[in-house]
Amino acid sequence: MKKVFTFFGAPAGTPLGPFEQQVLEALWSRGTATVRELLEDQKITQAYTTVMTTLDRLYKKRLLDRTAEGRAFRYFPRQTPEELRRVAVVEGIRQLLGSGDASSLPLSYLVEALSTHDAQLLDELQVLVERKRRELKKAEQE
Amino acid sequence: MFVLRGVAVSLTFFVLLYCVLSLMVVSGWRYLRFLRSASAQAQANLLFWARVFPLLASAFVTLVLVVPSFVLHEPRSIHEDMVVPLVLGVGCLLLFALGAFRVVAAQAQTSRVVADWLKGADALDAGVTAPTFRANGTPPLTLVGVCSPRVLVSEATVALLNRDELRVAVRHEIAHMRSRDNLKKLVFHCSPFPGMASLENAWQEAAEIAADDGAVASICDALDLATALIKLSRLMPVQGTPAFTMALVNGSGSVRGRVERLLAWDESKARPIQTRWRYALPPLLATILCAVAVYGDVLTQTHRITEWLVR
Repeated sequence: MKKVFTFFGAPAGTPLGPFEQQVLEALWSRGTATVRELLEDQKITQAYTTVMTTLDRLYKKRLLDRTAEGRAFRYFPRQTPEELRRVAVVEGIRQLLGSGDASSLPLSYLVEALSTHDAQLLDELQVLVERKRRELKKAEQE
Repeated sequence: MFVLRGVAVSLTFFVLLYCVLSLMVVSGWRYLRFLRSASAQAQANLLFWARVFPLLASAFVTLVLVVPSFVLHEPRSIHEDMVVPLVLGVGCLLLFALGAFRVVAAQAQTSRVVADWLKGADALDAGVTAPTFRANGTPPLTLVGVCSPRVLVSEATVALLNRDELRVAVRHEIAHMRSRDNLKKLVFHCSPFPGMASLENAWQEAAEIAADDGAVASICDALDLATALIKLSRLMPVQGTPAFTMALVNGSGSVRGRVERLLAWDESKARPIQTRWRYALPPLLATILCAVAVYGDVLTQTHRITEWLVR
């Protein structure tokens, strides 16, 4: 999950820090929260102002929405973890494809990686099938 | 003029209803997934009927309600503003034309590619009673054609699979043939609507799994089919597979799920559920009787709705 945060939302070259990730995960588990509510959960032990600054920073990175609630803000994650992962993967592929001088070169790396992955997957499945056959044979002999 | 008005009003009603129902299906078909516990064949059937529901329901309502209500209740000599029905009627005709064009184009492409594949093809005895051919340059194993479907097996497939694996793999294609899956694809092409592709993909996946179930009669068959899937997934995919074909292998992503499912094959769960039609008959008869009893009133209401719609 760590790599996800390095891609999404943050300006180029500014990955999310460990505490930002921790706050985001706490918000995902609650769905919505104010600073005080996050602190009441006791999953986060930092000072009130630290949490407030971090939430504001995540909001400015467009990872959170917020609405005013009295003198404080209530924060909501803008994406589910799955959506964030999808965006991160797309962004990663986009960066990969845009990284080289020859545009076909990164694409060929991607195809190679996928082919290798597919071949490994098929090998694993073949092992499973063979194991099942052996189990059946053994059961028949018994 | 009366006939023209009737045609325009009927087409207007059809296209409006078709669009509304299609939008409902596009936005709501994912809720059908609550039926995950149903058999693969039932899921495939449900997705198919969901996909064609807008077309069938619109055609049914138009032919059974709108046209008779217009003939019975519309005054012969009346001068009404015809702009809206004419514009929407032309829109409906364009929709029909688009559907027809998609079918003709897809059929032409399929015929051309299959004709190429069949050049120099030989009949193959795969131990099944279906027209099976061995050809060069085809996808590993494919069912082609709508009216007279045939199974094509590539040379590489024949070389790669043993006799049992080949037999069960061909039986997978025969299961597609029995379900008339290529004909269903043709029906999808007839009724275009934006956003239906994901539903069609879900149907395709369910149809593949249903065909796996249809091909397998024992755990040995299941393992043979799993092995065939793995072996054929290693082959280089053939580019440009035409529209009205069903291939055994559609990419390793789906292969994993299918192989895992085959490994977990259980004879007790695989028995087909007998549909007891006699239980459905009484409610069906009651519905028909009710429909006949209130048909006149429904026609009057339908005519009011069409009058309101076209104004």
